[in-house]
Amino acid sequence: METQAFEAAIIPDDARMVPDDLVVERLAIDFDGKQVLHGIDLTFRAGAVHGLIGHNGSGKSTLVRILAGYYRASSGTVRLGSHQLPPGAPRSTHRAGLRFVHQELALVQEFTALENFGLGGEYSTRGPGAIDWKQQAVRLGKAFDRLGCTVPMHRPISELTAVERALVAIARAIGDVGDGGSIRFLVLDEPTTTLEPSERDHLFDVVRRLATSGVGVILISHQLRDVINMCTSISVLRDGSVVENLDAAHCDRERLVAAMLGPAAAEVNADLDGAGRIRSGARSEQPASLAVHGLRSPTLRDVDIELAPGECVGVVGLAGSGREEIAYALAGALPCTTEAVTVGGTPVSALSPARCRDLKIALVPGNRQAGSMVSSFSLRENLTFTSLDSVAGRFGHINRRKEAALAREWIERFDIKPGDAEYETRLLSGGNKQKVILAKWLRIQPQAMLIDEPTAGVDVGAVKTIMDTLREFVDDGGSLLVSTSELSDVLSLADRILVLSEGRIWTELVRGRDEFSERSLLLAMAGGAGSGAGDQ
Amino acid sequence: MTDERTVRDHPGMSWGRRLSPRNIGAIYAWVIVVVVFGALNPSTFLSIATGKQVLNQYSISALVGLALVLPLSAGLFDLSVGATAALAGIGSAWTLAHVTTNPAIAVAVGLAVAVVAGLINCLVVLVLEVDSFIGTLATSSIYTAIVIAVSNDEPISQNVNGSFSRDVALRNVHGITFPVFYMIIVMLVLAYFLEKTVFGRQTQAIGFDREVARLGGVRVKAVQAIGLVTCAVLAGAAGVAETANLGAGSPSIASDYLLPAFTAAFLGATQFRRGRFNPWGTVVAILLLGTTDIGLLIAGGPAWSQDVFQGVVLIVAIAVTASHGIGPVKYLQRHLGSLLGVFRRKGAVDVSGVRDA
Repeated sequence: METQAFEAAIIPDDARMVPDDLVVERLAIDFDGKQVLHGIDLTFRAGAVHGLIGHNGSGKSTLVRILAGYYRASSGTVRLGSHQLPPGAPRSTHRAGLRFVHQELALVQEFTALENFGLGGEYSTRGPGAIDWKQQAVRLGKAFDRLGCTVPMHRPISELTAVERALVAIARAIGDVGDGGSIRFLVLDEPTTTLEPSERDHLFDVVRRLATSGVGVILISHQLRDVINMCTSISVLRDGSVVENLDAAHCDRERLVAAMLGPAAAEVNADLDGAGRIRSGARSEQPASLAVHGLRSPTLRDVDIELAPGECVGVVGLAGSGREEIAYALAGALPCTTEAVTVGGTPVSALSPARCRDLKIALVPGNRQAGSMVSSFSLRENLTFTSLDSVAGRFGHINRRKEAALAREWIERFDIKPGDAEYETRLLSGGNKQKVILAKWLRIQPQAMLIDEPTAGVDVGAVKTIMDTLREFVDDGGSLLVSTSELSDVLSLADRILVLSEGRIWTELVRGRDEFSERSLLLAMAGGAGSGAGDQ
Repeated sequence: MTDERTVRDHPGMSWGRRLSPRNIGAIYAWVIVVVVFGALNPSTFLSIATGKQVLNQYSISALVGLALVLPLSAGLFDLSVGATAALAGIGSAWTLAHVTTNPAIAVAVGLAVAVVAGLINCLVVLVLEVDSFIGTLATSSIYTAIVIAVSNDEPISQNVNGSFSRDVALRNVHGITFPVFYMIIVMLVLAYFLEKTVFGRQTQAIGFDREVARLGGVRVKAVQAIGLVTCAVLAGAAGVAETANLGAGSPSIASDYLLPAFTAAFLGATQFRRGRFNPWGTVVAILLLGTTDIGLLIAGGPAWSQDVFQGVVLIVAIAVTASHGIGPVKYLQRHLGSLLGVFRRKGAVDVSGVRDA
């Protein structure tokens, strides 16, 4: 039965017998004059598993979007064998056999596997438009056979395990026949971020089996360990160009990180503008501004963090490590539990955003995050939002003149453009928005700040202002936690950096003791992945 | 230079913008209406008496519209305003008929009943966390049922017609009845609290972006509760005044006032404070509706014409705010999302950042 499925799979449904390679030639794209991809050449062989890796900003995601047909390249071609894929045409690309499973899986949680299977594709119908569910179930069964696995078809997928959901998404990608024929290439974008180590092995088996049946697989991932295990060859993107094509058998993580970062790889992060000097007295005898023990949330397990006055702690981690939630969880803005929390040495019961505000702990989301500022408010209204009591009198009456003066003062101090305090905040650039958010919280004179993604979407000039402000805050004795995906931020600011993996603190790098470089961070981030972190 | 982008009326705004149709279009519409109906029936329509009639007859409608400004600003619907008005009115009437003829006590009972209704709304919407649209729709049917039960579905007029009716509603200054003054006072006080106080700022923040308010340390539910109870009290006051006006506590108040109040509140949000619910705009909107109603009546328009006009105005008001893309329309979108149960998240922060390249 299994052999039959194999043979049926190897023989393609249409006339072409030779499996085609996916070839990318001189692919380039620019956005408003900014060149994101510089004439890329890549060949993905049918029947093999290829890894595609690259650091933030390498052009990796843009390349995937061009392949999927969401973007049109400015120049260059993508062809399957001799057949050129029409640019910017997702449906044609899909029919030609190029299928995608994106990170979020694009499945409806309340639907069953069977109901998800048909989504977005073509249903088998019976009579006038009625879905032939029996036939659909047969098709899904065939897809699972091809993957060599099976998943309950009639339960809502929210009840399945993470890897089972991934398999449903893959089954949907391969099971849809379409007009042109069956699947030829499967692109998996960050498939393992939500998977346990044991589940990853299961996924690897399925992927390898699929490849053996003639389908080419392209794996895009930050989890370097997984890439080395699953792939036969690995292409590395850096700054919009392909810098290396490596044989996975002769690779280790160090090699990959070196390729991703380039010549600057081994360079220990130099002192930028006097930043990053080792702070004396950072670990003073004063009680911690904020200490949280046993923090548990949907994505975090048993995290302990202490912030001392005058100290900056950076937190980094890959997607799925819990890094994105850490600041919010510490402030109690997410449903979470803790074993113990102390603020300034005094134990407190659970924190919430309102309590944090009272205790002068600021939770500062980045301008791209939800809950950072009210877009429809004016600058003035946003700037004073958390400190209204300082401009209010009896009955909570807001003294307009005081408020306006305050707004002007901060606008000047941070050089926020445009300088009109009545301007609607949503019309500002990312950098200026970030300044407004920062100013809003600095106004309460916090003793601790928990910041999430402070420089996302922020232009270079504003980044400097923000970094300087944060540095000043720490120098004046404040405690700072910076959670970010931008490694250079923590390298220039932090006294120590925590690396999260799978919801736990995998390792800690201390300035002066450990190597403080993007390379060491990337290695640490990749090191935890897939190995059941938590022993450290 | 940056005129288009400033949020609202502020010292720097030019007169050209202050008087533009975008800002006060309803007033221009009102002028047009007066001109049109004045041309049709110059002798009957264009008189001070008509003007007073509009004010007197629609001041109570305005009160209900004003009641809605707070909860809508805080991101909540309150569909029970009509029913609460009826409930308070019946409460006053019943007190007069069975307990005492003292108008002050009757008014107090009516308002107390309204407070209880407001607290029940809080229980349903804030504690049980039922979507406000559905929750208040449900409570409104409960309140209406109570009204019908207490009144046996008949107007209660015993003792209502006497000093109560006279003192609360029919007393007038130069032909302008008291409810008009209630309306003006409520409008001013509401505007003050909404625009000039911390409470008002927090309310607006919750309405625009609840998450920002929450993360900023605002006690969201407490602020919303104050909004809901205040709304109930104001609606109750309207109900008591209308009972005094009619000389009888009537169950039909509930359905009569709901739609005009929402129309006025939403239309009001397009005026003066672009995209934000505000008392001034609400009152102007009611006067516009009232003038048109009376105009149509005097001109001998068919009975259905008033409702059609009102419906059209509501649609236009929403469409106009949709083009701004801010404020009231968000409520509708959010509400639809809640109905589908898809977008509902409790206390979770959306941390899906955008990763480029």
